[in-house]
Amino acid sequence: MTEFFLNVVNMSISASWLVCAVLLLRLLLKKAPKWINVLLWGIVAVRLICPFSFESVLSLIPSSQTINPEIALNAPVIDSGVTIIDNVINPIIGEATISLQPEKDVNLFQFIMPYLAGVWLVGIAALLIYTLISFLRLKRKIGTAVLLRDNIYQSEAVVSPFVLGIIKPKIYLPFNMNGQDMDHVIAHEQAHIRRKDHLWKPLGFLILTLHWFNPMVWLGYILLCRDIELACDEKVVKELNNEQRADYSEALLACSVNRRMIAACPLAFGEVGVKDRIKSVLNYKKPAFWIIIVAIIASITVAVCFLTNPANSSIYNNRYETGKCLYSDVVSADKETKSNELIFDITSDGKVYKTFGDGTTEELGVLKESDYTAEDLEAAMKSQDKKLSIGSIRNAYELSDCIFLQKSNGTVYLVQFFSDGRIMSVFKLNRINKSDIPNGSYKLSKEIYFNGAYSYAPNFENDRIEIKTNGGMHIYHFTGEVLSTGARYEEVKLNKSNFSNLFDNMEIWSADINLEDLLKNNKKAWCHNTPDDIGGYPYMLLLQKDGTLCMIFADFENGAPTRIRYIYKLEYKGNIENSYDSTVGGADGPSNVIVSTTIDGLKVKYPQFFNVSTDGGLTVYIWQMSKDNYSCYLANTSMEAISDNSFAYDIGASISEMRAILSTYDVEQKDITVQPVINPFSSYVYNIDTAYRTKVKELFWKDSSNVDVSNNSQSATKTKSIERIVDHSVDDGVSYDNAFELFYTDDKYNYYFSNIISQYIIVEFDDGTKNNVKDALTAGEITISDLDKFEIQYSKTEKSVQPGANPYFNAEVLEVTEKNILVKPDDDSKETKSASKIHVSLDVISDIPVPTIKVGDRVRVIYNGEIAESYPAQINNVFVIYLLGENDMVLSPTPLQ
Amino acid sequence: METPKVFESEYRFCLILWEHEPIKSSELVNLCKEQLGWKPTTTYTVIKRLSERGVLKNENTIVSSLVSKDEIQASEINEMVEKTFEGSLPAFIAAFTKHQKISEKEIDEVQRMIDRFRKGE
Repeated sequence: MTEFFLNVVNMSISASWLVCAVLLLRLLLKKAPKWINVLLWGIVAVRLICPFSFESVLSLIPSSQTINPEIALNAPVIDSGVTIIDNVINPIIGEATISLQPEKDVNLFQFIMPYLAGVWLVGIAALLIYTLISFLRLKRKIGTAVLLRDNIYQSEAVVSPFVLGIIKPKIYLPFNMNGQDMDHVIAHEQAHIRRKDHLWKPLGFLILTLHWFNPMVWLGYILLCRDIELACDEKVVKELNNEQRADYSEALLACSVNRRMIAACPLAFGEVGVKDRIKSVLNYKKPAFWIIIVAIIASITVAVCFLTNPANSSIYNNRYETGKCLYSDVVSADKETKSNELIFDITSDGKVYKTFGDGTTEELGVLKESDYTAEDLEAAMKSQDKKLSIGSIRNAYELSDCIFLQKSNGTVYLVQFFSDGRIMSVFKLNRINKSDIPNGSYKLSKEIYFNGAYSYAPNFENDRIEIKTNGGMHIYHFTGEVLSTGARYEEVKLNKSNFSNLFDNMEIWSADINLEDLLKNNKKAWCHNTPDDIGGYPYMLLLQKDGTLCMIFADFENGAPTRIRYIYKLEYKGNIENSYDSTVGGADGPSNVIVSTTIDGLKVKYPQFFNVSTDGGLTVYIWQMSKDNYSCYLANTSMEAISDNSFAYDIGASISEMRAILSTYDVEQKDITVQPVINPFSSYVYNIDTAYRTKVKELFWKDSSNVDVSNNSQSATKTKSIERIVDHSVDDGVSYDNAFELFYTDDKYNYYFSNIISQYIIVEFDDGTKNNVKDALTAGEITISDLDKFEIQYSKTEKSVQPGANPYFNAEVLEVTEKNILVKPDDDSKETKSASKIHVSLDVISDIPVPTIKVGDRVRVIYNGEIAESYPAQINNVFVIYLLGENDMVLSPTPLQ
Repeated sequence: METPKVFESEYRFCLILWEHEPIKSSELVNLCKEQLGWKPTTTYTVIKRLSERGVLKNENTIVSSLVSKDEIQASEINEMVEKTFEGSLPAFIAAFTKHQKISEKEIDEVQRMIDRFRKGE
């Protein structure tokens, strides 16, 4: 409730800026029709009740969150957008503390907030009760009003004519009105009804009750009432000639009331500013068309500038996760902490915390403003033979080993450096909501509650929970690698029937948490929406206010929970993308699509898709992981339909692979069903309707000429030969990502380009067709030797050498012999802890030639991780030795650049 | 006894009563709905209020008036003369004649009324 109150206050403050703008505009648009004014107040009303808004650079609101709803002790509380105000108020509020318990100082502001919220509620109640009572009394007084005609009544209790009623508005007049006056008055009140004022005014009043503490809102309401009357007068007077206008003013005068009543209900004829109204009526001139246009444009501008929120463009007080990788030195990346699962928390005073994929957090220090520029980045990249440009940047902030760059549109980039100053990686950072639960794997870390009614204690060592929040909350429970359950969860509010009453053994709680604490500290809860009748099933996920996640397992009967069995705390273990074999290809980083074109290769890769029984036909289940990415699974048609639970979508062949596999079966196309399904792990959302099914079927069966699978990849039936292969990546204006691209693999080697350029290397055939080098290789149209023939640069590694997977270190060469070298590992390497001198074998496993090494050279050794413990230590299983030059840049042999 | 006060809307109600009395309350309710636009509850409330004030009586659901139209009208006029014309009847008449034209016939009728009144003294 306090948070809600603060949100209302923030809305109120935002709206106050808008009210100022409207007041200004009203003055400027004096000649405009008055309904424009009412429209402007309508915009104010929207701002006052609508908590959502778009962020826009056009916003003129200084701040949409003047008071920080998550008041933490150390964060500045007020962010009004006006620096002077912030700098004055925040220190005062920050300093004020109140001692409640010994040694526990609480920020005064934070402390009184709930009380202020209470006062606010009381104020609302008071206003509503007062209005209700006034309304009821009025209703009673005019109970005996006599019907004149249609919906017009007369009563002796009516002093000044008004309209009452929301659904069926009725006009109330006094008795003894002279005919002419009565006609005008009735016309006016009917105009009110036509303009629906009998709805707007009460609505406005309700909004006022919510914001009763804000004098600007009161001002707005009073002016709204006045403008409504004036707009109504205009509507009537438009049709009257001069003489009739004089009569109308007389009627106004006759009914004028001196009382000032800010009551919501009646739209009184004479209530508001009679003198002004008479003046307006007598001086009314139909407004020029262009004025109306100007007024409308002005209103729209005001709406855009004040209904939208300012983009939160400060880097401070945000949480970021690593997004698109623009550059990554794959060879040297530390295998333990892959850069694409980092989360950075930057507090409002610049402290940076880095959370790794395995959940551990490290404090990195405080951001310092830096004058690193985009040009510096470009230059640094150039010196590493890479091209990278991110445009101009607005701010740069540095830490000890990385720099954050922010552009003026708010985008943030992270540049990480090696200890030698070279750039290790450049990532674009995505801002994420602090309350988001990171997608990924969680281990069950701590048992909070275990209903002792079972004779065995559950062993959850092997278990894993996967959470995916895109497109709804999906939670999967794995025991080992087997998917045990997976379902969509819906957000619920905890209550007795879905939570508290399900505990039948209250004594067994872990020491530092119990049911009351769990409930009190809970922020959100999600419940399994279609549980089967079963025991010990995942039931609910709890997110506590401090960010802790708990998984609840319960027994079910008839689809409803009967008792809670266990509750476990969850510990974040890493991103879901990494726990799954990217057989379907990833968008970031080196493309991992490994495509085999030989049947033997496919047999090794997908043994389960071969020798499937064809009785009753075959079904290909096909799903999408991303926009152009399809994966297929083959099964016998009469097998039970694949459901979420029975296979984990972790094996998927590409369409061409599946087509190749199907070609080994003796089945006709008509006996093969192509069945689109939705993979719960996929973050790509799509609907399976008739159109989609048709599209997928067509896509699957099209172009059988591309799939050329035979045991001999150099098929003699190929009719075209290569004209030439051109590398267009060097053309002007071509941009590509600076990360390694695995573009082809065969039995022995993985082949890489040093940048993602396969789409730019085009093979031109003598029959006029063209294809990019990757697809051409996949389809068997060309071979690697063709690349050599046309001098296309690439690197290859033996398949046992996985870049980035093997440890390495830099070292100084002390001695050189025929068979090995003696090196001294660098001080900052891990290896130096094992030994200060290591014999490194020159008999390297990969076929990358060992460079000529002299004493005093610096080298980089990539090995399998085993160091024999002797003195000196020995490394015998060496993959590659690189010679390093200045700044430890790799000189030779031609490495994986 | 002072003639009970009847408010304008109640007066309209009494007009209906005087025209149709004695009348069953339910029928009265229907008539009021038609002519005045009153809800049944309103009519019953007014019946109760007026009976407490002694304007009408409601016996066995039959409603009949205790005060006649003349009496009410006279009482109304009296009040007006007291309030507006400070009790001066001539002033009241004069006010009338200022705005209304009186026919010969009406002057005679008024004269005869005054004579009758004098004689009755």
